[in-house]
Amino acid sequence: MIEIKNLHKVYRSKNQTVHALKGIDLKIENGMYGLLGPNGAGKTTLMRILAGIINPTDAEIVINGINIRTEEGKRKMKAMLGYLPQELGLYPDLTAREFIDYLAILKGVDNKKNRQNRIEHILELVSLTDVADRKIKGYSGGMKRRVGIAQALVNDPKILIVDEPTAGLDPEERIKFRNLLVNLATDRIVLLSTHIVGDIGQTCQRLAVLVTGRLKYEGDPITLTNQAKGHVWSIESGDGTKPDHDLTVVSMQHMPNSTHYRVVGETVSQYPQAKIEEPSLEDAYMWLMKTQNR
Amino acid sequence: MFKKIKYNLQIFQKDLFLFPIAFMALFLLITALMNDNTQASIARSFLGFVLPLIASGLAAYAYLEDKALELKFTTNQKSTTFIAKRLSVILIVIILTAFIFQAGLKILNITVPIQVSWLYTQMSWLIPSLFAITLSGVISLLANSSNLSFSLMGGIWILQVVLRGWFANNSVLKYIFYFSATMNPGTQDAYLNQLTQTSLIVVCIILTIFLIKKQERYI
Repeated sequence: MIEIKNLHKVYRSKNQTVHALKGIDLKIENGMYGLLGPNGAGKTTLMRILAGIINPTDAEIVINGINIRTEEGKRKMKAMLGYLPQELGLYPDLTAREFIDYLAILKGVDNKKNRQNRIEHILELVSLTDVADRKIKGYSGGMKRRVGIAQALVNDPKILIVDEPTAGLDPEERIKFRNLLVNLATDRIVLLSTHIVGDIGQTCQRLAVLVTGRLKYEGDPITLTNQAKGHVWSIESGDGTKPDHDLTVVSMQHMPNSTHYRVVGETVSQYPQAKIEEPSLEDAYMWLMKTQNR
Repeated sequence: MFKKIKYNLQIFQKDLFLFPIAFMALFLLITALMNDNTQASIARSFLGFVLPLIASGLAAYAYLEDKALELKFTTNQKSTTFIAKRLSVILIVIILTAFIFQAGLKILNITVPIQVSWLYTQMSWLIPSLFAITLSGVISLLANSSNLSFSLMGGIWILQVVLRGWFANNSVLKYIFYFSATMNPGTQDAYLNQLTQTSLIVVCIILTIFLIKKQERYI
Protein backbone atom coordinates (compact mmCIF):
# COMPACT_ATOMS: atom_id res chain seq x y z
CA MET A 1 0.00 0.00 0.00
CA ILE A 2 1.11 3.55 -0.76
CA GLU A 3 0.19 6.13 1.87
CA ILE A 4 0.78 9.78 1.09
CA LYS A 5 0.10 12.46 3.65
CA ASN A 6 0.26 16.21 3.15
CA LEU A 7 2.47 16.06 0.06
CA HIS A 8 3.80 19.41 -1.08
CA LYS A 9 6.21 20.12 -3.87
CA VAL A 10 7.50 23.59 -4.56
CA TYR A 11 9.82 24.35 -7.47
CA ARG A 12 11.87 27.46 -6.87
CA SER A 13 13.89 29.29 -9.45
CA LYS A 14 15.31 32.81 -9.63
CA ASN A 15 12.25 34.24 -11.32
CA GLN A 16 9.37 32.23 -9.93
CA THR A 17 8.06 29.78 -7.40
CA VAL A 18 5.71 27.04 -8.57
CA HIS A 19 3.65 25.12 -6.05
CA ALA A 20 3.29 21.92 -8.08
CA LEU A 21 1.59 19.79 -5.40
CA LYS A 22 -0.47 21.28 -2.59
CA GLY A 23 -1.18 19.01 0.32
CA ILE A 24 -2.02 15.73 -1.40
CA ASP A 25 -3.38 12.89 0.77
CA LEU A 26 -3.79 9.49 -0.91
CA LYS A 27 -4.02 5.81 -0.06
CA ILE A 28 -3.34 3.42 -2.91
CA GLU A 29 -3.90 -0.30 -2.53
CA ASN A 30 -3.04 -3.25 -4.79
CA GLY A 31 -4.72 -3.10 -8.18
CA MET A 32 -4.99 -0.51 -10.93
CA TYR A 33 -5.08 3.08 -9.75
CA GLY A 34 -5.61 5.93 -12.19
CA LEU A 35 -4.31 9.48 -12.11
CA LEU A 36 -6.17 12.01 -14.20
CA GLY A 37 -5.76 15.71 -14.70
CA PRO A 38 -5.02 18.39 -17.23
CA ASN A 39 -1.47 19.29 -18.31
CA GLY A 40 0.45 20.87 -15.46
CA ALA A 41 -1.80 19.32 -12.81
CA GLY A 42 1.18 17.69 -11.06
CA LYS A 43 0.69 14.07 -12.13
CA THR A 44 4.21 13.55 -13.41
CA THR A 45 5.66 15.33 -10.36
CA LEU A 46 3.70 13.00 -8.09
CA MET A 47 4.90 9.94 -10.01
CA ARG A 48 8.51 11.10 -9.99
CA ILE A 49 8.33 11.64 -6.23
CA LEU A 50 6.96 8.12 -5.75
CA ALA A 51 9.71 6.79 -8.04
CA GLY A 52 12.36 8.46 -5.88
CA ILE A 53 13.62 10.69 -8.68
CA ILE A 54 12.68 13.96 -7.03
CA ASN A 55 12.24 14.89 -3.41
CA PRO A 56 9.03 16.34 -2.02
CA THR A 57 9.20 19.69 -0.23
CA ASP A 58 7.11 18.24 2.56
CA ALA A 59 5.29 14.93 2.97
CA GLU A 60 4.99 11.67 4.73
CA ILE A 61 5.18 8.83 2.20
CA VAL A 62 5.08 5.20 3.24
CA ILE A 63 5.19 2.44 0.63
CA ASN A 64 4.55 -1.11 1.84
CA GLY A 65 5.55 -0.01 5.33
CA ILE A 66 8.74 1.73 4.19
CA ASN A 67 9.22 5.44 4.76
CA ILE A 68 10.69 6.65 1.50
CA ARG A 69 11.80 9.99 2.92
CA THR A 70 14.89 8.28 4.34
CA GLU A 71 17.84 7.21 2.16
CA GLU A 72 17.49 3.61 3.33
CA GLY A 73 13.76 3.68 2.63
CA LYS A 74 14.33 5.13 -0.82
CA ARG A 75 16.84 2.38 -1.59
CA LYS A 76 14.39 -0.34 -0.51
CA MET A 77 11.56 1.27 -2.44
CA LYS A 78 13.63 1.48 -5.64
CA ALA A 79 14.33 -2.24 -5.38
CA MET A 80 10.60 -2.96 -5.65
CA LEU A 81 9.80 -0.34 -8.26
CA GLY A 82 9.08 -0.52 -11.96
CA TYR A 83 8.85 2.81 -13.75
CA LEU A 84 7.88 3.79 -17.26
CA PRO A 85 8.41 7.53 -17.78
CA GLN A 86 6.36 9.66 -20.13
CA GLU A 87 9.38 10.40 -22.30
CA LEU A 88 11.13 7.08 -22.52
CA GLY A 89 14.76 7.29 -23.55
CA LEU A 90 16.13 4.19 -25.23
CA TYR A 91 19.56 3.43 -26.64
CA PRO A 92 18.98 2.98 -30.38
CA ASP A 93 22.05 0.81 -30.94
CA LEU A 94 21.04 -1.79 -28.35
CA THR A 95 18.62 -4.60 -29.10
CA ALA A 96 15.53 -4.92 -26.91
CA ARG A 97 17.09 -7.92 -25.18
CA GLU A 98 20.31 -6.00 -24.49
CA PHE A 99 18.45 -2.93 -23.24
CA ILE A 100 16.33 -4.94 -20.83
CA ASP A 101 19.39 -6.89 -19.71
CA TYR A 102 21.29 -3.64 -19.13
CA LEU A 103 18.46 -2.18 -17.03
CA ALA A 104 18.15 -5.47 -15.13
CA ILE A 105 21.84 -5.24 -14.21
CA LEU A 106 21.37 -1.65 -13.05
CA LYS A 107 18.37 -2.74 -10.99
CA GLY A 108 20.52 -5.30 -9.24
CA VAL A 109 19.24 -8.50 -10.87
CA ASP A 110 22.73 -9.95 -10.63
CA ASN A 111 22.22 -13.68 -11.08
CA LYS A 112 22.80 -14.27 -14.79
CA LYS A 113 20.53 -17.29 -15.12
CA ASN A 114 17.67 -15.68 -13.20
CA ARG A 115 18.08 -12.59 -15.29
CA GLN A 116 17.97 -14.47 -18.57
CA ASN A 117 14.89 -16.44 -17.52
CA ARG A 118 13.18 -13.30 -16.38
CA ILE A 119 14.00 -11.47 -19.64
CA GLU A 120 12.62 -14.35 -21.74
CA HIS A 121 9.42 -14.33 -19.69
CA ILE A 122 9.01 -10.55 -19.97
CA LEU A 123 9.74 -10.51 -23.70
CA GLU A 124 6.99 -13.08 -24.17
CA LEU A 125 4.64 -11.08 -21.98
CA VAL A 126 5.05 -7.96 -24.10
CA SER A 127 5.13 -9.94 -27.38
CA LEU A 128 8.64 -8.92 -28.34
CA THR A 129 10.32 -12.35 -28.41
CA ASP A 130 10.49 -12.52 -32.21
CA VAL A 131 12.11 -9.11 -32.59
CA ALA A 132 14.13 -9.06 -29.37
CA ASP A 133 17.45 -9.25 -31.20
CA ARG A 134 16.74 -6.38 -33.54
CA LYS A 135 18.18 -2.95 -32.76
CA ILE A 136 15.72 -0.60 -31.07
CA LYS A 137 16.28 2.09 -33.73
CA GLY A 138 14.23 -0.04 -36.13
CA TYR A 139 11.24 -0.34 -33.80
CA SER A 140 7.82 1.30 -34.19
CA GLY A 141 6.45 3.59 -31.46
CA GLY A 142 4.33 0.78 -30.05
CA MET A 143 7.27 -1.62 -29.89
CA LYS A 144 9.34 0.99 -28.08
CA ARG A 145 6.59 1.43 -25.48
CA ARG A 146 6.60 -2.35 -25.02
CA VAL A 147 10.36 -2.28 -24.47
CA GLY A 148 9.63 0.41 -21.89
CA ILE A 149 7.12 -1.71 -20.01
CA ALA A 150 9.46 -4.72 -20.28
CA GLN A 151 12.30 -2.87 -18.57
CA ALA A 152 9.86 -1.72 -15.89
CA LEU A 153 8.87 -5.31 -15.18
CA VAL A 154 12.28 -6.95 -15.31
CA ASN A 155 12.83 -6.85 -11.55
CA ASP A 156 9.30 -8.16 -10.87
CA PRO A 157 8.28 -4.92 -9.14
CA LYS A 158 5.68 -4.71 -6.42
CA ILE A 159 4.88 -1.18 -7.54
CA LEU A 160 4.57 -0.30 -11.18
CA ILE A 161 4.35 3.38 -12.12
CA VAL A 162 3.45 4.14 -15.72
CA ASP A 163 3.18 7.67 -17.07
CA GLU A 164 1.15 8.07 -20.27
CA PRO A 165 1.95 4.54 -21.43
CA THR A 166 -0.48 4.46 -24.33
CA ALA A 167 0.46 7.79 -25.90
CA GLY A 168 1.15 7.28 -29.59
CA LEU A 169 -0.13 3.71 -29.74
CA ASP A 170 -2.64 2.54 -32.32
CA PRO A 171 -6.05 1.38 -30.97
CA GLU A 172 -5.19 -2.33 -31.05
CA GLU A 173 -1.89 -1.84 -29.26
CA ARG A 174 -3.58 0.45 -26.74
CA ILE A 175 -6.09 -2.24 -25.85
CA LYS A 176 -3.34 -4.88 -25.59
CA PHE A 177 -1.34 -2.61 -23.37
CA ARG A 178 -4.32 -1.86 -21.17
CA ASN A 179 -5.07 -5.55 -20.74
CA LEU A 180 -1.44 -6.27 -19.92
CA LEU A 181 -1.51 -3.65 -17.15
CA VAL A 182 -4.74 -5.08 -15.73
CA ASN A 183 -3.22 -8.57 -15.65
CA LEU A 184 -0.14 -7.23 -13.89
CA ALA A 185 -2.28 -5.45 -11.31
CA THR A 186 -3.58 -8.68 -9.81
CA ASP A 187 -0.71 -8.87 -7.33
CA ARG A 188 0.81 -5.41 -7.29
CA ILE A 189 0.05 -1.71 -7.38
CA VAL A 190 -0.14 -0.30 -10.90
CA LEU A 191 -0.29 3.47 -10.90
CA LEU A 192 -1.42 4.71 -14.28
CA SER A 193 -1.31 8.34 -15.32
CA THR A 194 -2.98 9.28 -18.57
CA HIS A 195 -4.95 11.90 -20.44
CA ILE A 196 -7.12 9.21 -21.96
CA VAL A 197 -10.09 9.07 -19.61
CA GLY A 198 -11.39 5.94 -21.32
CA ASP A 199 -8.25 4.01 -20.37
CA ILE A 200 -8.87 4.76 -16.70
CA GLY A 201 -12.56 3.91 -16.97
CA GLN A 202 -11.79 0.55 -18.55
CA THR A 203 -9.09 -0.50 -16.14
CA CYS A 204 -8.97 1.24 -12.75
CA GLN A 205 -10.88 0.37 -9.59
CA ARG A 206 -10.00 3.76 -8.13
CA LEU A 207 -8.72 7.04 -9.41
CA ALA A 208 -7.58 10.45 -8.35
CA VAL A 209 -8.08 13.69 -10.26
CA LEU A 210 -5.47 16.38 -9.82
CA VAL A 211 -6.00 19.97 -10.85
CA THR A 212 -3.26 22.61 -10.42
CA GLY A 213 -1.59 20.52 -7.76
CA ARG A 214 -4.70 19.85 -5.69
CA LEU A 215 -6.63 16.64 -5.31
CA LYS A 216 -10.10 17.29 -6.72
CA TYR A 217 -11.46 13.77 -6.57
CA GLU A 218 -10.44 10.47 -5.04
CA GLY A 219 -12.63 7.40 -5.30
CA ASP A 220 -14.03 4.91 -7.75
CA PRO A 221 -14.94 5.75 -11.35
CA ILE A 222 -18.66 4.95 -10.86
CA THR A 223 -19.09 7.50 -8.06
CA LEU A 224 -17.35 10.12 -10.16
CA THR A 225 -19.57 9.25 -13.11
CA ASN A 226 -22.70 9.49 -10.94
CA GLN A 227 -21.73 13.02 -9.91
CA ALA A 228 -22.40 14.13 -13.46
CA LYS A 229 -25.92 12.67 -13.56
CA GLY A 230 -28.42 15.28 -14.69
CA HIS A 231 -25.68 17.46 -16.17
CA VAL A 232 -25.10 15.75 -19.52
CA TRP A 233 -27.26 16.45 -22.55
CA SER A 234 -27.32 16.02 -26.26
CA ILE A 235 -28.38 18.95 -28.37
CA GLU A 236 -29.28 18.82 -32.04
CA SER A 237 -28.57 22.10 -33.79
CA GLY A 238 -30.14 22.60 -37.20
CA ASP A 239 -28.05 25.63 -38.14
CA GLY A 240 -24.88 24.29 -36.53
CA THR A 241 -24.77 27.02 -33.86
CA LYS A 242 -22.54 25.91 -31.05
CA PRO A 243 -24.30 25.75 -27.67
CA ASP A 244 -23.09 28.34 -25.19
CA HIS A 245 -24.75 29.62 -22.00
CA ASP A 246 -22.09 28.12 -19.79
CA LEU A 247 -22.20 24.71 -21.44
CA THR A 248 -19.06 22.71 -22.23
CA VAL A 249 -19.10 20.76 -25.46
CA VAL A 250 -17.70 17.27 -24.83
CA SER A 251 -18.15 16.09 -28.39
CA MET A 252 -19.70 17.17 -31.65
CA GLN A 253 -20.68 15.38 -34.78
CA HIS A 254 -21.69 16.92 -38.09
CA MET A 255 -24.72 15.14 -39.58
CA PRO A 256 -26.11 15.78 -43.11
CA ASN A 257 -28.72 18.32 -41.91
CA SER A 258 -27.65 19.19 -38.40
CA THR A 259 -24.89 19.10 -35.85
CA HIS A 260 -25.09 16.85 -32.81
CA TYR A 261 -23.54 18.17 -29.62
CA ARG A 262 -22.93 16.39 -26.34
CA VAL A 263 -22.62 18.94 -23.57
CA VAL A 264 -22.17 19.18 -19.83
CA GLY A 265 -23.45 22.05 -17.74
CA GLU A 266 -25.66 23.20 -14.91
CA THR A 267 -28.78 23.77 -16.99
CA VAL A 268 -29.98 23.70 -20.59
CA SER A 269 -33.09 25.83 -20.14
CA GLN A 270 -32.12 27.81 -23.25
CA TYR A 271 -32.32 24.62 -25.32
CA PRO A 272 -35.78 23.02 -25.00
CA GLN A 273 -34.81 20.36 -27.56
CA ALA A 274 -31.94 19.09 -25.32
CA LYS A 275 -32.17 15.43 -24.29
CA ILE A 276 -30.68 14.23 -21.04
CA GLU A 277 -27.98 11.56 -21.40
CA GLU A 278 -26.36 8.97 -19.19
CA PRO A 279 -22.93 10.32 -18.25
CA SER A 280 -19.72 8.58 -19.16
CA LEU A 281 -16.50 8.91 -17.16
CA GLU A 282 -15.29 11.43 -19.71
CA ASP A 283 -18.45 13.54 -19.19
CA ALA A 284 -17.94 13.28 -15.44
CA TYR A 285 -14.34 14.41 -15.76
CA MET A 286 -15.44 17.43 -17.80
CA TRP A 287 -18.16 18.16 -15.23
CA LEU A 288 -15.60 18.01 -12.44
CA MET A 289 -13.29 20.36 -14.34
CA LYS A 290 -16.19 22.70 -14.91
CA THR A 291 -17.35 22.78 -11.32
CA GLN A 292 -13.86 23.22 -9.93
CA ASN A 293 -13.33 26.27 -12.15
CA ARG A 294 -16.11 28.14 -10.41
CA MET B 1 31.61 -8.09 -16.22
CA PHE B 2 32.25 -8.30 -19.97
CA LYS B 3 28.59 -7.49 -20.64
CA LYS B 4 28.65 -4.46 -18.35
CA ILE B 5 31.67 -3.05 -20.22
CA LYS B 6 30.07 -3.86 -23.56
CA TYR B 7 26.84 -2.05 -22.66
CA ASN B 8 28.71 0.93 -21.26
CA LEU B 9 30.49 1.32 -24.59
CA GLN B 10 27.37 0.70 -26.68
CA ILE B 11 25.22 3.31 -24.97
CA PHE B 12 27.52 6.11 -26.03
CA GLN B 13 26.93 7.76 -29.38
CA LYS B 14 29.25 6.62 -32.15
CA ASP B 15 30.59 10.21 -32.39
CA LEU B 16 32.40 9.55 -29.13
CA PHE B 17 34.74 7.28 -31.01
CA LEU B 18 34.68 8.89 -34.46
CA PHE B 19 35.50 12.41 -33.24
CA PRO B 20 38.93 11.56 -31.71
CA ILE B 21 39.78 9.08 -34.46
CA ALA B 22 39.13 11.70 -37.13
CA PHE B 23 41.32 14.27 -35.35
CA MET B 24 44.05 11.71 -34.77
CA ALA B 25 44.10 10.65 -38.42
CA LEU B 26 44.23 14.29 -39.52
CA PHE B 27 47.15 15.11 -37.24
CA LEU B 28 49.01 11.95 -38.23
CA LEU B 29 48.66 12.98 -41.85
CA ILE B 30 49.74 16.57 -41.19
CA THR B 31 52.72 15.37 -39.13
CA ALA B 32 53.77 12.96 -41.89
CA LEU B 33 53.58 15.73 -44.51
CA MET B 34 55.68 18.20 -42.50
CA ASN B 35 59.44 18.45 -42.66
CA ASP B 36 61.61 17.06 -39.88
CA ASN B 37 61.84 20.39 -38.02
CA THR B 38 58.14 20.84 -37.48
CA GLN B 39 57.06 17.21 -37.09
CA ALA B 40 57.82 17.11 -33.35
CA SER B 41 55.98 20.36 -32.76
CA ILE B 42 52.85 19.17 -34.62
CA ALA B 43 52.89 15.82 -32.83
CA ARG B 44 53.21 17.50 -29.43
CA SER B 45 50.43 19.92 -30.33
CA PHE B 46 48.07 17.04 -30.89
CA LEU B 47 48.88 15.44 -27.56
CA GLY B 48 49.22 18.53 -25.39
CA PHE B 49 46.82 20.94 -27.10
CA VAL B 50 44.22 19.05 -29.13
CA LEU B 51 43.56 16.08 -26.83
CA PRO B 52 42.30 18.25 -23.95
CA LEU B 53 39.92 19.95 -26.39
CA ILE B 54 38.56 16.61 -27.63
CA ALA B 55 38.29 15.39 -24.04
CA SER B 56 36.29 18.42 -22.91
CA GLY B 57 34.03 18.15 -25.95
CA LEU B 58 33.20 14.53 -25.18
CA ALA B 59 32.76 15.14 -21.46
CA ALA B 60 30.30 17.98 -22.03
CA TYR B 61 27.81 15.37 -23.25
CA ALA B 62 28.70 12.65 -20.75
CA TYR B 63 25.88 13.00 -18.24
CA LEU B 64 22.90 14.96 -19.48
CA GLU B 65 22.77 13.30 -22.89
CA ASP B 66 22.31 9.84 -21.41
CA LYS B 67 19.05 8.85 -23.06
CA ALA B 68 17.89 6.71 -20.17
CA LEU B 69 18.87 9.19 -17.46
CA GLU B 70 15.40 9.28 -15.87
CA LEU B 71 15.25 5.48 -15.76
CA LYS B 72 18.70 5.30 -14.22
CA PHE B 73 17.61 7.67 -11.46
CA THR B 74 14.98 5.10 -10.45
CA THR B 75 17.60 2.39 -9.89
CA ASN B 76 19.84 1.96 -6.89
CA GLN B 77 22.95 2.70 -8.90
CA LYS B 78 25.22 4.95 -6.82
CA SER B 79 25.99 8.38 -8.22
CA THR B 80 29.72 7.67 -7.90
CA THR B 81 29.29 4.52 -10.01
CA PHE B 82 27.32 6.44 -12.62
CA ILE B 83 30.01 9.14 -12.82
CA ALA B 84 32.81 6.58 -12.91
CA LYS B 85 31.17 4.64 -15.74
CA ARG B 86 30.56 7.71 -17.87
CA LEU B 87 33.98 9.27 -17.29
CA SER B 88 35.98 6.09 -17.57
CA VAL B 89 34.72 5.44 -21.11
CA ILE B 90 35.79 8.94 -22.19
CA LEU B 91 39.12 8.61 -20.43
CA ILE B 92 39.77 5.24 -22.06
CA VAL B 93 38.97 6.72 -25.49
CA ILE B 94 41.40 9.60 -24.87
CA ILE B 95 44.16 7.30 -23.59
CA LEU B 96 43.72 4.93 -26.55
CA THR B 97 43.76 7.86 -28.97
CA ALA B 98 46.99 9.16 -27.46
CA PHE B 99 48.72 5.78 -27.56
CA ILE B 100 47.51 4.89 -31.04
CA PHE B 101 48.73 8.30 -32.21
CA GLN B 102 52.17 7.66 -30.71
CA ALA B 103 52.22 4.18 -32.21
CA GLY B 104 51.23 5.71 -35.56
CA LEU B 105 54.20 8.06 -35.35
CA LYS B 106 56.48 5.09 -34.82
CA ILE B 107 54.97 3.18 -37.74
CA LEU B 108 55.45 6.24 -39.97
CA ASN B 109 59.03 6.41 -38.69
CA ILE B 110 58.56 9.87 -37.22
CA THR B 111 60.78 10.50 -34.23
CA VAL B 112 59.52 12.92 -31.62
CA PRO B 113 62.22 13.61 -29.01
CA ILE B 114 61.06 12.70 -25.51
CA GLN B 115 60.45 15.72 -23.25
CA VAL B 116 62.11 15.17 -19.84
CA SER B 117 61.04 11.51 -19.61
CA TRP B 118 58.53 9.11 -21.17
CA LEU B 119 56.28 9.45 -18.12
CA TYR B 120 56.48 13.26 -18.23
CA THR B 121 55.46 13.23 -21.90
CA GLN B 122 52.43 11.09 -21.09
CA MET B 123 51.47 13.27 -18.11
CA SER B 124 51.70 16.39 -20.27
CA TRP B 125 48.56 15.34 -22.15
CA LEU B 126 46.88 13.11 -19.58
CA ILE B 127 46.59 15.66 -16.75
CA PRO B 128 45.19 18.52 -18.87
CA SER B 129 42.83 16.07 -20.60
CA LEU B 130 41.56 14.75 -17.29
CA PHE B 131 41.19 18.30 -15.99
CA ALA B 132 39.24 19.24 -19.12
CA ILE B 133 37.01 16.16 -18.76
CA THR B 134 36.11 16.79 -15.13
CA LEU B 135 35.70 20.56 -15.55
CA SER B 136 33.51 20.10 -18.61
CA GLY B 137 31.33 17.64 -16.70
CA VAL B 138 30.92 20.06 -13.78
CA ILE B 139 29.99 22.95 -16.08
CA SER B 140 27.40 20.84 -17.91
CA LEU B 141 25.76 19.88 -14.59
CA LEU B 142 25.99 23.38 -13.13
CA ALA B 143 24.49 24.98 -16.22
CA ASN B 144 22.25 21.98 -16.87
CA SER B 145 23.30 22.25 -20.51
CA SER B 146 25.70 20.09 -22.50
CA ASN B 147 25.88 22.60 -25.33
CA LEU B 148 26.76 25.45 -23.01
CA SER B 149 29.53 23.38 -21.46
CA PHE B 150 30.83 22.41 -24.90
CA SER B 151 30.87 26.05 -26.04
CA LEU B 152 32.38 27.38 -22.84
CA MET B 153 35.13 24.77 -22.76
CA GLY B 154 35.84 25.43 -26.43
CA GLY B 155 36.05 29.14 -25.65
CA ILE B 156 38.44 28.56 -22.75
CA TRP B 157 40.62 26.40 -24.99
CA ILE B 158 40.73 28.97 -27.80
CA LEU B 159 41.52 31.72 -25.31
CA GLN B 160 44.43 29.71 -23.92
CA VAL B 161 45.76 28.94 -27.40
CA VAL B 162 45.52 32.54 -28.58
CA LEU B 163 46.90 34.05 -25.36
CA ARG B 164 49.28 31.19 -24.53
CA GLY B 165 52.23 33.51 -23.96
CA TRP B 166 50.27 35.66 -21.56
CA PHE B 167 48.83 32.64 -19.71
CA ALA B 168 52.26 31.03 -19.42
CA ASN B 169 53.70 34.18 -17.80
CA ASN B 170 50.74 35.20 -15.63
CA SER B 171 51.68 34.66 -11.99
CA VAL B 172 48.38 32.92 -11.13
CA LEU B 173 46.92 31.57 -14.37
CA LYS B 174 50.12 29.75 -15.34
CA TYR B 175 49.23 27.12 -12.75
CA ILE B 176 45.92 26.25 -14.39
CA PHE B 177 47.07 26.81 -17.97
CA TYR B 178 46.39 23.60 -19.94
CA PHE B 179 49.56 23.67 -22.01
CA SER B 180 52.19 24.59 -19.44
CA ALA B 181 53.77 21.14 -19.31
CA THR B 182 54.06 21.01 -23.11
CA MET B 183 55.31 24.56 -23.58
CA ASN B 184 57.77 24.71 -20.67
CA PRO B 185 58.80 21.08 -20.14
CA GLY B 186 60.54 20.13 -16.92
CA THR B 187 60.34 23.57 -15.31
CA GLN B 188 59.21 24.12 -11.75
CA ASP B 189 56.18 26.00 -13.07
CA ALA B 190 55.24 23.00 -15.20
CA TYR B 191 55.35 20.64 -12.22
CA LEU B 192 53.40 23.07 -10.04
CA ASN B 193 50.91 23.41 -12.87
CA GLN B 194 50.45 19.63 -12.98
CA LEU B 195 50.00 19.54 -9.22
CA THR B 196 47.41 22.34 -9.33
CA GLN B 197 45.50 20.69 -12.16
CA THR B 198 45.52 17.35 -10.34
CA SER B 199 44.10 19.05 -7.23
CA LEU B 200 41.43 20.72 -9.36
CA ILE B 201 40.55 17.34 -10.90
CA VAL B 202 39.79 16.06 -7.39
CA VAL B 203 37.72 19.18 -6.64
CA CYS B 204 35.78 18.75 -9.89
CA ILE B 205 35.05 15.08 -9.14
CA ILE B 206 33.75 15.98 -5.66
CA LEU B 207 31.61 18.74 -7.19
CA THR B 208 30.28 16.31 -9.80
CA ILE B 209 29.26 13.82 -7.11
CA PHE B 210 27.46 16.61 -5.27
CA LEU B 211 25.74 17.94 -8.39
CA ILE B 212 24.63 14.62 -9.87
CA LYS B 213 22.61 13.94 -6.71
CA LYS B 214 20.38 16.88 -7.57
CA GLN B 215 18.50 14.63 -9.97
CA GLU B 216 15.41 16.74 -10.48
CA ARG B 217 17.45 19.46 -12.17
CA TYR B 218 18.33 17.18 -15.05
CA ILE B 219 15.03 15.57 -16.03
